[in-house]
Amino acid sequence: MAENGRPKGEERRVQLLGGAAIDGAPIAYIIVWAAVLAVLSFVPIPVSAVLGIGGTFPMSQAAYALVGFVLGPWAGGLAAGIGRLIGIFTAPHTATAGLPSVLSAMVWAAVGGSLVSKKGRQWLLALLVSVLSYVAYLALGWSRGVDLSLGLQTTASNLSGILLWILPTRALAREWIADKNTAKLAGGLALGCWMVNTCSHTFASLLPYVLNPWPANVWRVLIPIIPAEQLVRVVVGTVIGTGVISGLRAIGLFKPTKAGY
Amino acid sequence: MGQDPLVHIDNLSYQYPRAKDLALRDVNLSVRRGEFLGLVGPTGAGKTTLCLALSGVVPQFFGGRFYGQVTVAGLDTVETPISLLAQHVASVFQDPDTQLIANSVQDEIAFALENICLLPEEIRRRIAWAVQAVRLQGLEGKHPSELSGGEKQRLAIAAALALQPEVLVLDEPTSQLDPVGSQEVFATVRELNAELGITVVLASHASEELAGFADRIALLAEGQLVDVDTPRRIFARPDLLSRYATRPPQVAQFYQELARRGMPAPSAPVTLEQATASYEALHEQIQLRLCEFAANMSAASGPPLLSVRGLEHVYPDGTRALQGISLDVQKGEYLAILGQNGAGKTTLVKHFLRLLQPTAGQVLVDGQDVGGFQVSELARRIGFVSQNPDSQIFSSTVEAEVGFALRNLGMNGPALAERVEQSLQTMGLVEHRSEHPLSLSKGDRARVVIAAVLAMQPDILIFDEPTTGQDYRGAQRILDISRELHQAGKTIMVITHHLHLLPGYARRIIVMGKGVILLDAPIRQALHDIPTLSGTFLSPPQIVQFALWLASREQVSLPVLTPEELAACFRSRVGSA
Repeated sequence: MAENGRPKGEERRVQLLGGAAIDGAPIAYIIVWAAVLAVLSFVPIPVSAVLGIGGTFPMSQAAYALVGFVLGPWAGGLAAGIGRLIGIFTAPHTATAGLPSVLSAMVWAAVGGSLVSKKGRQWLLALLVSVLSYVAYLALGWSRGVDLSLGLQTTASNLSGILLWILPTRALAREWIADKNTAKLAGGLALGCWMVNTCSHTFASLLPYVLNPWPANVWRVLIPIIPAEQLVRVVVGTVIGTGVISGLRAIGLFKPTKAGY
Repeated sequence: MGQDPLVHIDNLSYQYPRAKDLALRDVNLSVRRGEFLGLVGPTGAGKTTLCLALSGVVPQFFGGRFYGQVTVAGLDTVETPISLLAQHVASVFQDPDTQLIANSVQDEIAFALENICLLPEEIRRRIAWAVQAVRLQGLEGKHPSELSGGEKQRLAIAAALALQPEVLVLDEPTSQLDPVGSQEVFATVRELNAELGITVVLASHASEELAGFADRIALLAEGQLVDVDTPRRIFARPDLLSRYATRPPQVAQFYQELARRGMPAPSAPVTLEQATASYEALHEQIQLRLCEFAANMSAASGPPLLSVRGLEHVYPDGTRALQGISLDVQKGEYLAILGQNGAGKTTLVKHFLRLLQPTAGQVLVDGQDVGGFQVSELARRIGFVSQNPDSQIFSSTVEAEVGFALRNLGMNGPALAERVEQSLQTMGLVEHRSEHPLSLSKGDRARVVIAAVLAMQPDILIFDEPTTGQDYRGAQRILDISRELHQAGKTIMVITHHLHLLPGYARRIIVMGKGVILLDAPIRQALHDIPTLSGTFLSPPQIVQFALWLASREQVSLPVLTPEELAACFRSRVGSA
């Protein structure tokens, strides 16, 4: 040991896994998360707004935001896309939205990753996608006889996500997710999951609505169902996320550079 | 052995991410081509980290802060991708489950060979060779999850051996193996080292084997290299080894004990061969005297607490794991169950807890068939500490883990807190109470599981290989706790391969082989019964082997179990006439 207590050797620049990483996340992590999402695809949660095509959604949907928080926007999006793609084939009973749900999963996790990104303008891109999807969804509904008032009531939870995204609550969620305190972590995950899920939901709903337009009177039924569905996603995502992030912190495995915890 | 260093470590320091302290600090070491280097030192000394640094896993997988330089075959382990380093360095980790990925034994061995594009004929040849080298013949088609712990470890070794790398790094590769299996692995590694010139770096607590096979021993402690020298010079320094919780070979302990008793003793030998050779010179200065030893087995009385009647178990794949086992265990006994890997020891004790159902026969607890108990009820009466502590860990803090089972049984409030506190204190885990159990070393994780079982205050405690992965002091600490519990009236059963640790603890020994009981005897008789032990791939502790050689030479009976007992049987010839 050198006299000043510092190691004698020169500090080296460490490259992880020989550079086998995507946007700072080791490929092994992406594969593991894809596998986790594929497995979660097997579990149907019977609280879906889309009653006409099954009435359930796969549990993996509740973890898309989490994957973004843990891997960052690009790696998280990739993991979610791979996981969903595998899930469609291995768990077809929960794949009511089919192949388009792969793209939805990717966007969903990318929005999650952009929430915890400290640098860059990815959060703005996510906001743009969310706002455009929201407007397009309302416009489509209006063109099919859903008046604006009903449309706003049905998508109130989605709108709340966009507003929370614009307000300082996005930074608050990011700060809490990074906090060592487990209660704050859980709070940050809950708030973050709500924002990410509600912002991404309209994007995920667009194509199913184009392909299978539910009538205007169904929109009224969805007024309480959509928030309930989002609440279930938030609870599941928070429970899984609190355990996973606490475990990852405790084990001390390498943290992806874009991770938010 | 070549003189050029194949491995060169220059001022290596390393800090894991989020760790407060350096895991390694200022390590300087060279390993020559063809050398067999042993790494010894207490748990947490940095042996595993050093092994991982040779393969580039530290720092390329873990990240963290890395200082200095490590080169293997001229390749810098920080700058060279792990995939490239793997063609020069093969690793066998402490826990085989972390590196087994294929669906069959032969596929596992073939995996790395396929990845380096060997021809199919060569792959088949190497599979056959590696399977034979680690005694896994007949299991080629089995799924790795169907293998016992020892068999899994041998498979991991076979997969690494098959690569025939320049450097073979093994981190505690024999900790789960029976003694004969352990010796075979050491012999196989030595053979690879001698015949193929493979450089070997092997971390182990098995002093006797390292002394016999290694060219040099590096002693690590608290992340620093304390010394590196020949086994004879390293193991001849009892004060140094004691300070760093490292056990010298038993014959060295015997010679050191002679010296402590004021008798003339030459430089301590470290292998059985050296001990027998040096005894000839020693014989002129010391002489054996008559020694008496207690039988050391409590007389059985009263109805048995646990009774096994004609127990048979056949696994779904047709493996007959138990074949008509009958056994009585009295309240307050301390017994050890020994046997080769796959002898049926763990299968037997799982029946006590109803974790397995008998194919035939029955198990009685206090005269009642265990079939009539709920598993939770049995768990309250019989505590089981499994071979792999991770399989018994569920909670996110040590404190929560210790109270986990109690909470499930409905306990809460001050009673729960008191029970948890008591267990944490007994196992020396108070300072770790808020940490995640999986963030602790394997030795500490084992202590967490034992603490959780202790909190249940069961009548019977079963320890399945409790000392695996522990350094000498850690192993003694666990066994000391088992002895204290025994003295408090608990019935203790220990399954182990570490026969040298049993004297002073177990009184009754049950030797199993291929699903049957081969011997049920007091410890003095059992550890000296070479034919029975060798029949189940066990070998007695080194000091017992030396005592048997002495007994044969001097035509006396020497049923000793420890170096101290053997030294007590000698006196100096000087002044004795």
